[in-house]
Amino acid sequence: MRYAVRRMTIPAAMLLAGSGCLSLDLGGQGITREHVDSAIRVGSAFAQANERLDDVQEYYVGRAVAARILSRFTVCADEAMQAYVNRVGHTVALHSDRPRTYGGYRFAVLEAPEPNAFAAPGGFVFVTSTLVRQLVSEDQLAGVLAHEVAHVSAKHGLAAIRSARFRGAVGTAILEGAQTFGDADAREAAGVLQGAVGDILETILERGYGREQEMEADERGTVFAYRAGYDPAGLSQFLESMHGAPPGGWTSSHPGADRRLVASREQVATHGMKGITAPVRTLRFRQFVPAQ
Amino acid sequence: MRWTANRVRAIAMAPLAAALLLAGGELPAQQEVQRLTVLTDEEPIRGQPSFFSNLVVRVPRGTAVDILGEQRGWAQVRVPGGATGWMHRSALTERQYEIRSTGRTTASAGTSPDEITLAAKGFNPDVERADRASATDANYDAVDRLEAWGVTAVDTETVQAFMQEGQLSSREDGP
Repeated sequence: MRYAVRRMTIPAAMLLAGSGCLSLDLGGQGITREHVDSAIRVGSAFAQANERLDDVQEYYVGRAVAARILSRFTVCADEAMQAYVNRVGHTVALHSDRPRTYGGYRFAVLEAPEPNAFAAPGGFVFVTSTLVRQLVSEDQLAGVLAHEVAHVSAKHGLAAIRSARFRGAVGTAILEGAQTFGDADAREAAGVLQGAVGDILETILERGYGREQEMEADERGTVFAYRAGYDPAGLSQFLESMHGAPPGGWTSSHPGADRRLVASREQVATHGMKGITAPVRTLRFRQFVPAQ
Repeated sequence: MRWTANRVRAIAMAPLAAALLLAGGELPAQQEVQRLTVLTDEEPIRGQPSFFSNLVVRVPRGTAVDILGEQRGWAQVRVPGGATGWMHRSALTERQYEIRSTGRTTASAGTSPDEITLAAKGFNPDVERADRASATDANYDAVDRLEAWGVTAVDTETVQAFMQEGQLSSREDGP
């Protein structure tokens, strides 16, 4: 998967740059000096917000993102369904690579005509009522929520912030977690926050994450659902059901569904992850999400 | 006891060192005990490295704990007062914070202590207040309602019961 290659390639590229060894043939594509410089730049930018903002700052970025999402969408009033979705979500989150966050995970079903799901940094996970109604089992719901938990776990939201947001004294102080701000500086810091939030919203609502991050979220999400006891095929079943769906929502912000479907099936088969969609779970899913 | 550094020298090694000296042996290298801060509110310490293991004690956010060992994403810890058990590593941070009380109480059963926050630098409540004042497209009240909504706060015991009802068993052998 591309993300895994990138994670392995950056240190390797740095090593190559330091050693003067600049050509390594990987599947017919040689690494050049240009590739090495690019990898280092990408790695540096990725590391900035993704690794240097601490858990508490991540929480406040997540609140700011959630505040924008909740100004655009209404939270579904069906409290029983919200409670059910939260129980499924917390079950997969507890089996994730990052079961604990500063503010904890919160799941919410939003009223929206498009099928979509997205996560804000720190643990806010949103899924639209239209997507929930397109699912046919709890195991599929677990697969979708686990995919979003994987974005939180890997801090993909923070990685979407352009490094340029942190230029200048206040931006640098934020990235370093170096100081608290007086009123004037807090206003400037809020400007940095608003730019960062804009980058994240553009990514999760419009442009979508890159294919490598989506593939990583598929892979880790499938593992989280599997660890929780769910059928690991839940996500691929949903992806298959979306095959041929008109563009919009999940399909536009989660590109390459066909390739992801193939990869997800291969992952389950390769690792011998076996599971079944127990009827008792589908029955309770239908109790909270009636068939259309 | 007040600790002033994140890593402290383990005074527990002193008796062993004295015994070795008396026996003509060499002093062992001083062992460093890593001290980390609890990020999460009322975090449970478990008897085994599993969320479904027996509860030893809950500790408030900001508590400093000593790390005795690590195993598959879990840290074996000693909390102030001497109790030992296991916490998931994601509930711990190497950073140090001042702690503050919000004046609110937590939903924690029984104890109802004051809610504790960590006084972050950078993006923090002061910056959020400035954002609230200037942003026209942000609904922080809805975020506050979502966080305070009981249905979104699902504790481990509720997850365990939900899993049993749904015939779900944790698999430890996931890749």
